[in-house]
This record gives sequence, structure tokens and C-alpha cells, in this order.
Amino acid sequence: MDSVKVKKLVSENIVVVVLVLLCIGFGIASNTFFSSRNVSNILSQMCTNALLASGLTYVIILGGIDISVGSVAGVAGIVASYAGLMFPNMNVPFAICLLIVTGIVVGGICGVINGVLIAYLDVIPMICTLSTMTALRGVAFIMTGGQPVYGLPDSFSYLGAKRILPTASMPNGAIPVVVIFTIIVVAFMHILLSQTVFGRHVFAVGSNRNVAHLSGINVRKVTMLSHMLCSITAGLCGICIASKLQNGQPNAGDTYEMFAIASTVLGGTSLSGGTGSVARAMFGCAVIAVIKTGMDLLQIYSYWQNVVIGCIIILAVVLDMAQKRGRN
Amino acid sequence: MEPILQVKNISKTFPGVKALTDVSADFYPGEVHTLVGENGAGKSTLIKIISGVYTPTEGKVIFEGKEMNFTAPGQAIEAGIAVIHQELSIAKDLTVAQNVWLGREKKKKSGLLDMARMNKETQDILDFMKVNLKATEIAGDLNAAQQQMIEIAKVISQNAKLVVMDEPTSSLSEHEIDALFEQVRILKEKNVAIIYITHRLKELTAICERVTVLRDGCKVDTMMVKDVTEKQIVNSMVGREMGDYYNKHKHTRGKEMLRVENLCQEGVFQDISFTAYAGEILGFSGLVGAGRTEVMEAVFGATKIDSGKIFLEGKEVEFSNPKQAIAHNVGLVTEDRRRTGLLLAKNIVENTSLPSLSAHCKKLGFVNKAWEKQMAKEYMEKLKVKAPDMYTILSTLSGGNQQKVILGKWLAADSNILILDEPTRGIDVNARSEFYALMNDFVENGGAIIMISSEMPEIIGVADRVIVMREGRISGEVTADEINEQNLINLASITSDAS
Amino acid sequence: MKKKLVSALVCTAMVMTMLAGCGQQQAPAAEAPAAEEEAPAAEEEAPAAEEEAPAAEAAGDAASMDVADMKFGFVVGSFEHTFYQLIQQGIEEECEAKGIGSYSVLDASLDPVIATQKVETLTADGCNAIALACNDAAGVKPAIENADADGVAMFTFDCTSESDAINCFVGTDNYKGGELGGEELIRLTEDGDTVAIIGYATASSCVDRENGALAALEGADRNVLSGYDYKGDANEAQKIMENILTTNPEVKAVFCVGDPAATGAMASIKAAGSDCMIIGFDGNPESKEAILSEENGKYWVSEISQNPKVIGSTIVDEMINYMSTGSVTEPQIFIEPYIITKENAAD
Repeated sequence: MDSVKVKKLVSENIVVVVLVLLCIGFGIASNTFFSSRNVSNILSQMCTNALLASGLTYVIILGGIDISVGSVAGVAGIVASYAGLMFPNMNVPFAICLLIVTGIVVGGICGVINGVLIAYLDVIPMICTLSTMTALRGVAFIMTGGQPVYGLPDSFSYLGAKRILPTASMPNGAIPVVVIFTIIVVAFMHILLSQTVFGRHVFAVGSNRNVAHLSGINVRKVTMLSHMLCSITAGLCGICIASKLQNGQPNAGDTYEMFAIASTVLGGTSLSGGTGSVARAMFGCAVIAVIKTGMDLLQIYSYWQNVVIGCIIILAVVLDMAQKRGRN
Repeated sequence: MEPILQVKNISKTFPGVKALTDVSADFYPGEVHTLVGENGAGKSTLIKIISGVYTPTEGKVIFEGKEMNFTAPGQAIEAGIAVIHQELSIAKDLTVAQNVWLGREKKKKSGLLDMARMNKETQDILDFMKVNLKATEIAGDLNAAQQQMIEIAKVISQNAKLVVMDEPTSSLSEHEIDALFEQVRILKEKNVAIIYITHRLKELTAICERVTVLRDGCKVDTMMVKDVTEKQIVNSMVGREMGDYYNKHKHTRGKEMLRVENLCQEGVFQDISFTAYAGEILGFSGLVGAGRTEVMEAVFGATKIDSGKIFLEGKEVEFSNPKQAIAHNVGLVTEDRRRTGLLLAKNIVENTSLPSLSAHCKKLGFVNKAWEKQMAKEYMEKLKVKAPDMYTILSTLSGGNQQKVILGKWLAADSNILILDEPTRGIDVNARSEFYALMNDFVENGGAIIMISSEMPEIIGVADRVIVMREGRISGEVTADEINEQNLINLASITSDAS
Repeated sequence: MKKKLVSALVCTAMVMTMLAGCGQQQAPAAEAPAAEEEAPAAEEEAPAAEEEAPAAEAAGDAASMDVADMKFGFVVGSFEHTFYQLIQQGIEEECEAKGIGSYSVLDASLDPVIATQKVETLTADGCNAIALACNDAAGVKPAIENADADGVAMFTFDCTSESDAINCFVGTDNYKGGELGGEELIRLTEDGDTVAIIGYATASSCVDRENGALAALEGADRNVLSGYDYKGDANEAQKIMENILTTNPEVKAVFCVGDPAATGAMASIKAAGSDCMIIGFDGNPESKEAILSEENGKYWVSEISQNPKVIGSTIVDEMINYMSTGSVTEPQIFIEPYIITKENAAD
């Protein structure tokens, strides 16, 4: 009985096992891997992906997908940069508020577009977000004329680039501010999904729309709100990139959706909907961040990194299919 | 004459259900052999075995003297067995000829499609059938009867020796039925054996030679149509001893709970009026497709009505979605548990609490987990759900226990009007008996139940009053002692038009 | 259940094997048997370096670090561009030659976000000095300043950024190169001829080249067509050249500010049957090959070559300089480009 339980535990938390194995492997291969500086580094590099994955978890649980998140992030970053240019002397708290508000507003607007198309006009999510991905990337280039938006004050970069809590080995701070910000957002998204009625309704709609509808759940509203949440986290991801670079890049976030989807699926969220967890998606993000950073430390050629990450994505999808087969 | 197809001592068992028991029958070329029986009598299981969809648990299928072991439907087609399903399998965007040759396309030597030849051969068949259709017409532009002609042309093009027709007349008008019969006669002339399934007994005398009656998965008898009357056939269809597991209670009718007046949904049902009372089980009988499920979905707010009124305890209400119906304590147990009743991948707690979650949430929309657990525990005990614990995933439960969980979720939502659509389908006898007892408890505590059932014995054994529907309309109502199979069948089927 | 478990473990094993496999393959690619032998030693010393990160900076300022203790990190624009591959070669050869304790070269994929992450990774790895190519000057500025604040000495090459944190920049004198290109246009054509310049409007280095060429052409009796933007894309350059040849078929020579532009232009010139001559810029191997070839050499006659290997070796020298003496030769060092023609292309 106990061994059965252990097996169940392992198979349900396979992503944690993979993460631990990877960490052990890299830890043996590189002696700086477990340094506090590198751990802090991996955490900070996870953030953009973690923000995207936290929102994507919702739409993937619904059985949908959103591949426009990278473009939403790009647009949000540019809007935030233009907003930042209007206040050259802003202080840090003001800059943080400005960034967050811009991220939520821009993400929210994009989310309404996706949400209305998918929830109320019944456009297939893949097609809808493929279109908005292309269109929004175009908007980003139109707004900037293809050039980065620069000349932002230093306070603008506090959220994305600064670290706090200095230690002896890291006199400029051990904890990146963006990590704290991401933890807050991800915690919110996790609790919303796992502890609230809305979250339960997301699972119900993803498991079986008919049943959810006949149980009195407003399926369209749940779908709409989930897409809005997904785009808002993408907007927040975008402002973090802009803040980190201290400028707005029209192509920021390009192709990030693939890594975010891969992380989410690695974290056990089924592409066919119904099951998933924001917290586990974070382990998926950690796996990808560890692989990328670890391979850099080992000086593995970047061509090989692409191959390995491609394999990881295939692995995630195969695992997903295997679990589905197991269920049936 | 040698039979072309023999089924010998066929039995088929599904997990928990025995669908066919020791059925044998012979089918002859140039003859129409009709299978009749109530829903669930085993007709479709038998057809699926003949056409290679299912393998029998026991027994043999002998076709043209050879034992057949079909493992896939394609093999049956190759052997010369064709099936025309009730739901036609027509690709709407393709032409008539493309549909006829679908999957068996003729090719030129170059490997390209030989469309000219396919069109010509199709046209020849259509002309032979004396059907006024062109091979190049788009199938989607044709009506149901014409699409059926495509299926028949396909059968002819396959040179099928045995054709199974599953309720081919269910969606046709009288005039179209005549045209179809003409084609059946043409097939007979070509010495094809036909297995025909219908609920309309009147059709038997028109085209059939032989009839086999099935009941509860067993063969009752095979008769020559010319030797028997319609009445005799009906009697052998229904003549079953009623078990007392229905445990019929005499209920006392209470106050009016739900009144429906002149409910209409264009093309689906018309002019539906009925009243359900507290302390009463109201049965809805009729053939599959009579519109009963659609009426109940509309009452529940799942689909829109075009006109009509709904009253709850005398007050008019309008349900534009199920949420409003649930808020007024109406619950719907749907016909198809797996598709519309349960979150199969979720556990008992999550399923039980689903409709009432928002009504019992804590501040800021947090799930009240303590309430949820207590509720799930309470109904698991009350309804005697057999499961390891309340976190058991629904897909691992038996049909009966799944159905109890569904009932529990509506009880947890404080429903006092329960609409049950075929509530005991696919549930074994013991679980049924328990389920009927729960239904009795519910009405005796002041609830009202509306139960749709296509099983005559169930309706007779459980309902206090029965409304019968036919083709989207209410064709009659029977109460008390008048509730018997003869009355129900008369009201439900076309034959009553003649009488 | 068992199946799932096994499949997951197999997959993990596959990934781990792959990691190990590419690690092994990478070692010879670094062309460094010496580095391999030295690697363990470097690793042993690395934690010490990390613990003493602030101290290391002091050591750097005190200008007394031994070459064998140095740990350098490099971020090049892209592993997929010949130009950067040559810089990388220059860096690696110089590091080996000088006996740098340990070094690594990473790929920024021409993306400022990735470049920033690579700088962070190298900082975390305990590098004393990092040099990077700032393809997006504004985008990598915070990364440079953060790494500097962490006590890493920062350098740039090829393109730079505006920051006080940068100790030294080594790059090509693009304006000078442009002048050379303009002079070549004059040399190859006669008075009254039409010449063209294909530029790249959003890359500052290429704008410098175009301006240098225009300055050199000033006063010469040439009809100059300019103001084209090939956007770094050979395909775009091909279209531009096609348009030039349609509207000005008499064009005698074209100066392309980058080798991809020259490749694209040559395709159009050949297709149009024109005898317009090409002067390229970069000095990539494909240009030398074209100049030497009997067929393509008829069009592509001259090349303004950068010296990527020298850029690579020079930045390494300056980093060593800074770490051991606390100062650099010059804050900005420009490697002068030179002209390649048929005579010297084989060298």
C-alpha cells in the first residue's frame, strides 16, 4: 500500500522529481550552481515565464490556449515605457505603481478582446490568439516605429532590475525586487484558482462545459474572466521586461509563449483541460530556467540548448498524453 | 432456401450489464426481417455485433456459411454487410457521387481520381433506383429523404448482400416513406437480405416478411408477418412480469409546484402544458425523439423557448439560464451522465458541491471547504454511495453510484423540483431499486419529481401519473389504473392515428 | 502508474544523457586541451572567488591579479553570424595564448533580454570581468550597471553603450571604413559615372559607414544614389538593387555597408546582366571567396574588411591589462579596417 502511495506521489509530482534530478546533475557538474548568487539569478530569470505561466494555467485548464501572451507583454512594455517618459523625475513608488497599473490596464484590454472573441463569439482559442498575437505584435512595431523606447529614468528600472537585502557575498542585494513581485502575483493566481468558487468553476468548465452549464455556471463569463487574467499576467510580464531593460522593446516577449506553455504543461496542466495547478506550473518554469542557466554555466553551446529545450517540450506533451491514456 | 446470415446463441455482456442472452436468428436473401422491441431490448447491440462493431461474448455469426470474426467495421463492409444508421453518415460538402464512393474512390491508372467514371456509375444506380437526383449535386443541399437515397445508392454500389436499416423512417414524411419502401422492394428484387428496425409497427405489413421480437436482451419469438396481428406483436413486446423492485408507493398529491403553459420551441416541440405537484412522481413517456428531453431542458433554462409560460408555486418565472432555475430550487438529472451529468475526472466532493458552491461561499468568494466536506459526507451516507472515501474520482464509480452522486448534488442544492431524464439507464437492478426508494423519499418529503423514461415497466412501476409525448406534442395523459403498456404504446406510436 | 513512472524516468535520463553528451562534445569545440586539464583547478578555486566577491573587486582595483586567477565572461551578438564567430575565435585564441584561468563565451541571440540574462549568469558564475557586444545599446545598459555594481569589471566590443561602468570598448572605426569604401567607389569609376550606396538606417555602425562614404565622395564628380535601408536582410538588399538597376541601369558601382547586402545586390546584378561592381563591408569569408572566384569576382571586386579576430584579441588584452594594472590603454580603441582586393584576398 505504501509503495503504491509513493508511486502515486511521484507520478503526480513528476515535475518536482525532474527538477530535483536536474539540480543534482547541474550541482555536480558546476560548483557555482548552488551559490546564493546563482540561485537568486535563476529565480529572477524565471519571473517573466512564471508570470505568463500563472495566467496560461487558467486558459489551459479551460481546455483553451493563449499564444498571444508574448505580444501582449510586448505592447504592455511599450505603453509602460511611453508612460514612463512622461514622468522623467518620478520616484520609485510612483514608478512601480505606474508600471503595475499600465500592465493591468493594457493586459486587461487585450484580455477583453481575446475573451469576447473566444467566450462570446465562439472563435477557436488557437485561431483567435494566433490572430491577436500577430496583430498586437504589429501594434507594438507601429507604436515604436520599430525602434526601442529609451531615455527612461532609473526609478523605472527598480521593479525589474534592482535587488534588495544585501548580504556579505552579495552587497547589492540578494533578492531581486521582480522576484518578490512575481511571488505576490503568482500567489494571488494560485489562491484564486485553488481556494475560490471562481477557481472551482474554471476547473468545472474545463472538465465538462455541458455539466458546468447545467450546474448553473455561467460558462461564458468564466471563459472571459480567465482570458482576461491570462492577458493581465502577460501585461505584468511585459512591464517587468521593460523595467528590467529600462526601455521598451517592440519585439519583447517574442516566442515567450512557447516556453510558458511548455512550463505549464510540464507542471501537469493538461492540454485537454480540467486539471492543473499554478503552483506546479512554477516547478515547470523552474525546470526550464534551471536548464537554461545550468547549460550556460557548463558552457553548452546555445544550439544544443535549443535542442534540449525542444526535447523537454516534447517530453511534457508526451507525459500529458500518457496521463490522459492512464485516465481512460 | 438457405439463410445468408445466421446468428447462433449470441450473448453479449458489458461490465455490469447483460445486453443480449442466447439470441439466435436466421436471415434470408430477398426478405425483409424486422427487429422490434422496446428501447434497451438489445436491438442495437445485435446490429453492432452483426456489423462488426462489437464482438459477441458467446455465440457465432455465420455469413454465407462461414463463421465471421469481424474485428473492425471495415471487414463487414468488405464481406458484403452494409449498415444505414439512423443518423445518416453523409459528408455534406461533397457531391452525391463523392459520398457514394467515399473511402472506395475509383482511380485512373495515373493514380488521379476518376471522377467521370464515378459520376457515371452513380448516375446509373440513381436511374436504376428511378430517383430524380443528379450524381453531381451537393449532398448538403438535399433533404433527409434524398440523403437516405444516397445511402441506398451506396449500398447498391457496394453490392451488399445484407443491408441493415436502423429506423430509416424516423425522420421521413408519409410520402417519403412510400418512396423509401419502393427502394426496399428494389433491393429485395436484387435478392438482398434486409434487417429492418422500426418502432412503427404499421410498416411491418407494408414491406416485411419476418419479425423477431426482442425483450430484455432475449429473443421472444420469430414470426411470419402474414400470420400475426399487430396486437400480437405488441403483446409479445411488452408481456413481461413486473418485478416488485419498483416498490410503488401511493403518494398523496400536495400543492402545485411547477406549471407549464403552451411551451413552444420552433421545430422541436409545440404547445406543451402540464403541471407537477408536490408529493407526486410525474412520468413522461414516449418514443426516443418525441421531444421529452428537449422540453425539460427548456423548462430548466438550458435552451430558449419561443413562447409559453412557466409558473413555480403559482408565480410566473423566466429561466434564461440554468443558474436561475437552480436558484429556484429546480434540479435536472440529465439523460447522459457521462456527457452532461458529471465531472468524471473530479471527486465526489467537487461534484456534489458544484451547483451550490456560489450560494455557500465565504467572504471574497473563497470556497467554504468545511461546508463542502460536511455536505458531501452527509449525502454519501444518506444516499448510501459506495466509494472508498469522499475524494474518490467519479470515473471509478459504478453507474448506480454515479447517479446517486448526481442526485446528491441536487439535494445539496436544496432542490424541491427534480427533473430526472432516464435516471436508471445502464444501472443494475439492485441500484435501481435503491434509487426508486430515494425518489419515493423525496416526494414524500414534499418534493416533486418529473421522470422521463422510455422503459414502459419503469414508468408503470414508478409514476403516479404519466404524460405521453409524440413528435413534439403531448398526445395524452394517463393516471392511476389506466397506466398500462397498451395505453402508453397507443399514445406514443403512429399506429394510434389509424384507430 | 508504473508505466508513467518509468516513462518519466527514461525521459529524464534522456535529458541528462544529452546534457552530458553535449558537454563532452563542447570541450573539443573549445579547441583547448589545455583548458580541459586546467578546468578542475579553476573549479576548485571558483568558490573562493565567489566568497570573496567584494574582495575580488578590491583586488582588481589594486591591480595585482594573476592571469591564472582571472575568470572572464564574454557575450557575443550571435553564434549564427560569421562576424561574431570570428570575434569569438579571436577571444578564445587570445585567452589560451595568455593563459587565462577560465573563461566562457555565451550567445545573446541579438536579443537584449537574453544578453541581460547571460550577463547575470556570468556574474553569478563568479567572473571577474565581462565583455559584451551591445547590439541594443539602451537595452543592455541596466545589465551592465548592475554587474558593475556587483564588482564585475565591464567591457564592450563591436558596439557599445553609454555608461560610465564601461572600462574599455574595442570596435571597428566604421566612419573610417566608410571613407575607404567611398575612395574605392572613386577608384573603380570615372568622372560622371553613377554610383550607389546601400545602407542600414537603424544600425548606428552602418550609418557611420554610409556617412564616411558620402564624405569621401564629396567633391568627386559622381552621381551618388543613397538613402536605401536594407534592414540587415540580404533579401531586402536584393530588392533594393533590383530597383536601382531598373531606374538607373547605368550604375557602375555599389558600396554595400554589410556583406549580406553585397550578397543580395550581387544576385540582382547577375540576374539583370549588369556589370555593376560591388564593394562589400565586413570581411566575412564569403566575401573573400567571391572576390577570388572567377565568376563572382567580376562583380564583387573589393571589400572593406573589419578585423574581428583582432577585436576579439584586443578586448582580451585590455581586460588582462585592467585586471593586472587597474588601467586600460585607451577607453575606446578602434581597429582600423583595411581593403581586400583580388591581390590580398588569399592571405
